[in-house]
Amino acid sequence: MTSGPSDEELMLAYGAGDAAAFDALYARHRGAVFRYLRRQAGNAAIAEEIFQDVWLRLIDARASYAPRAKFTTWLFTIAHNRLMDHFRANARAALVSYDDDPIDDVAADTPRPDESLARKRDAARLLAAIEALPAAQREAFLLQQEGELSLEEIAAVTGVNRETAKSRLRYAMGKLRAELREPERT
Amino acid sequence: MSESRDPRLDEAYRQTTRDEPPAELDERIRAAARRAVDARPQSLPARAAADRRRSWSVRWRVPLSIAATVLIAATLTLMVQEEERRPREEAPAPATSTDRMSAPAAKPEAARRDASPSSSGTSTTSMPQSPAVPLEEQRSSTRPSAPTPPQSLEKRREQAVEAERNAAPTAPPSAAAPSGAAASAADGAASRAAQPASEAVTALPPKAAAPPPAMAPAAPEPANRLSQPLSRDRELGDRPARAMRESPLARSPEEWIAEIRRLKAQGREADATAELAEFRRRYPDYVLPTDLAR
Repeated sequence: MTSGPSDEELMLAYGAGDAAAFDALYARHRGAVFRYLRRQAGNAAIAEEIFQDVWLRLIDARASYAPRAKFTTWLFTIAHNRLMDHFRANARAALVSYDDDPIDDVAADTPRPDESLARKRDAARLLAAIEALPAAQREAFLLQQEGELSLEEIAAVTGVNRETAKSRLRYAMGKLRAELREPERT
Repeated sequence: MSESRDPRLDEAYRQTTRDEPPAELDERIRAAARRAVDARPQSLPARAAADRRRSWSVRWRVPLSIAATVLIAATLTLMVQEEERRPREEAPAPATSTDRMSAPAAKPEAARRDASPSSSGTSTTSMPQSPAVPLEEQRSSTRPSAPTPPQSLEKRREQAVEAERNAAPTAPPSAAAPSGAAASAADGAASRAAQPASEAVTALPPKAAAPPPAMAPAAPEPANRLSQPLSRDRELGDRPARAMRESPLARSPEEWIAEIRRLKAQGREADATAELAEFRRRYPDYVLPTDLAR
């Protein structure tokens, strides 16, 4: 994790007028937030637009910030809400998948011997598999990987209960494992 | 949390491309963050200093306006109270002015009191009195106390004017008829009775140019009596009256004329002529009766 001041301390310092605190905070989370948005939006330009909007909202909210929750939970909540606004505004089909959470019978827990996948190849396949996930499952997975959020935090960010978040995450991971177990298609 | 994580999957995900926001986007966001902070002072003391610097007039505008309003209101209130108090303080002034107005009325009374002792040795009073004035009224008029109130004075003046108007055809125009003691007044009345009324009217000059009241024939009418205080006031300033008071031989003209007539009746023409000459010298403006006017 990070050393030095916590995210919450940095945010409070920035709210008190310390511009350097914002720089430190931004440096810590800029990549994770951008990737979350980039992989959820599916478009770099849209992701950049939403990314900027998320941070500007954080800047505007600096004076009223209170560390009632973990900073990353708050940050990804802003990102999630902005993303939902974007989906609603553009009537993206992917939005439907948030409500439609299909449960497939992928054996997610079945261990598969390491077949020494090449890292790069696996990464490309994984990214393709992530993109193919339903939006809610993908979001749960991305929040876990990029935001390092717990199930409770994922549930809080996405506005669902813990079991729903857990189910989404479990199915997402099962599909991804299955994708990684699949022999490379030629 | 651990049961929801897969180390192999985590490792695989870390191998994916680490997408980053563009550098220009980073700079744009950092600039926005700095602008937001620069718009606000760095610290609370700095912000307080900036607030102080902002504009003292903006902060003091309302208190100064309130203070000015209160000051003006207080000044106006004090001015109004002062204006209200002034008439109240001046209220006694009319009373004193009334006193001053009544003072002349009292002054003649005092003058009469002063004059009375000088004539106490003689049978005649130095102040002309209407013969018809009752003794009680004379006493009350010469009484030093109880000065005549202005209202009654005015009333008496009006009554005098009215009575004078009524009595105009027969009475001499002079309202201030000199009067002496009761005896001399009776003589004067007798002498006047001997004169035609028209002669008395024509003999007397107009009121404006009337001879000093002390030398005018006595007017027995009540109007003259009522106007006595006024005429007395005027008489006080008259020189012949003063001369009469100052002279040890002071006597009323009527008495003097009666004496002259008595001398003539006794056949003492020389004495009568001498007395008449002295009378003319003493009262050059006195209109002599026709029997003595020759």
